[in-house]
Amino acid sequence: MGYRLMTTPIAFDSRPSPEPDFISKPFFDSLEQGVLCVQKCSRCEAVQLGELICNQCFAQDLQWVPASGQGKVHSCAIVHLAYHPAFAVPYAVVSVELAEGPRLLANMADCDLQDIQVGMPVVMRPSKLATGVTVPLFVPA
Amino acid sequence: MAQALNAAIAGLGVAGLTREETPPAAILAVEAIGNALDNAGLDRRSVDGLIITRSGAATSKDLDLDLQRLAGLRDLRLLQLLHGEGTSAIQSIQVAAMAVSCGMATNVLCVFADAPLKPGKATRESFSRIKSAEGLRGLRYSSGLFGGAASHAIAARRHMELYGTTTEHFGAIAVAARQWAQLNPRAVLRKPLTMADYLAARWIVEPFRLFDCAMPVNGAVAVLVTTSERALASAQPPVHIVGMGQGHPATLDQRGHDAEVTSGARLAAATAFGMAGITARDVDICEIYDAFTYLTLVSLEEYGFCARGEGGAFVASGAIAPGGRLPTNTGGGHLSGYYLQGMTPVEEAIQQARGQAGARQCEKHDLVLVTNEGGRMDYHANLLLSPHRSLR
Repeated sequence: MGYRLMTTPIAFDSRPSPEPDFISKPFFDSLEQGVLCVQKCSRCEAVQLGELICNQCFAQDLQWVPASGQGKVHSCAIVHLAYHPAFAVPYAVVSVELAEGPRLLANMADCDLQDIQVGMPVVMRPSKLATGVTVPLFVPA
Repeated sequence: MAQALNAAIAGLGVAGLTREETPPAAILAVEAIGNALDNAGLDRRSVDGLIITRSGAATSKDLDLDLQRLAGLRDLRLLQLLHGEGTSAIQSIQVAAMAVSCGMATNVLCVFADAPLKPGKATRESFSRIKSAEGLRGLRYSSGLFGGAASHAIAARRHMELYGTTTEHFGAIAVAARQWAQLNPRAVLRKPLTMADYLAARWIVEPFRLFDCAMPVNGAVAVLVTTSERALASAQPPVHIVGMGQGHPATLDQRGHDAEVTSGARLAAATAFGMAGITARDVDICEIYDAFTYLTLVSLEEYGFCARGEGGAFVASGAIAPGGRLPTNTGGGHLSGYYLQGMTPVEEAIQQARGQAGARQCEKHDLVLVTNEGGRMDYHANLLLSPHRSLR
């Protein structure tokens, strides 16, 4: 790809912050304690993320449970257009498929851009924003 | 229920379609409405329905129900502002088609207008707005995934990984769009584009380069929908709506589900093709919502013009370019033509179905498929247009 840049020119604490809501507050509260959680259905045990009712059996009985924090890169995009001052271009956005199944969007750290490969194993590191909200960040496993 | 559908497009009007400074979207909408009425040979007193659509990035300050008064339309029997992201334009024509079919209204205007280009403002600012930072959806923005190019890039990269789709495959789509655009006086980008030019262009969001992405303009398109009988007596060759469908899959973003390489097109196709009594083989021309090259590729697969994963080879064969076996995005699409979201493919489809597409007119134009795509392949709508009322 002709350049060699670490994925760290991102000013991590000034990224636009998610706003924890009715469903996701426990997710962000746990991340603040360093633990990535997913939802598990009490009826059918299906694991998911960000749902109000179970996306398999439709029961409204989802419990937050700790996940392993491990996953793999499902896909990635390398952004070259400067959309926001917190992000110096180019930078990578990855879709991570957690070991438990759900996917989420995040950034990578401790990894050169050109070394990010679809399928590579990664592990979660909590990353605190200026707003106090903690989001998941991933590093190579 | 195909026998219940009695609808056709009898008027087409555009305004703007320019990168230059223009009046606001609502003013462009009024101009397009006037042009559509002139085109149909109708005056505004005969209009009894108005359906307004706008960009997902626009607000009520840009365009709202007040357009009725601005456009001098009185005593409407149908009025709504419809929102379906990128599928809004086709959805508005579908609602109009149902309304005229059941007699709720007779002459319904469907108008879309947008003016995202403003002096001293980067275009990206108009299309990368944070829509909702609430909850887990906010992770999109905290990780820097702004705008449609970035979210679709994630999807395109997954397709490359799964099926070996290459950057040259996306390039083939961009080059074909430009070849068509060179034949279209309305297209914004008409200079020749080679594969080498495509590959030399700057990155936007890998795997997308500049010419993988839509060309925004300020402009408006208005379409007049009426019954098939009235369209036969109109000033223009009739364009009958012989099928239509929607598909909104809400694919799960978790293991075992492929939201990146599928869309709602499959579901929408089954409905529309069933209504018209046709198969993909009967389609003469495709006008696909191609805000990004990848959307053309994935739509061709989802509609069954080729198998899933074979879209790259299909476009590389020249099938969609001028002279190919499936003329696609014959006005240059969003990529080289102009980006007015769902109305871009509709406008070109009407010209082709009428036989009024000039140098780019396709000889066979008995059945034109038009698609709209919204969100990140979350929402899909289509129309099947034909100069013939029935294909059976």
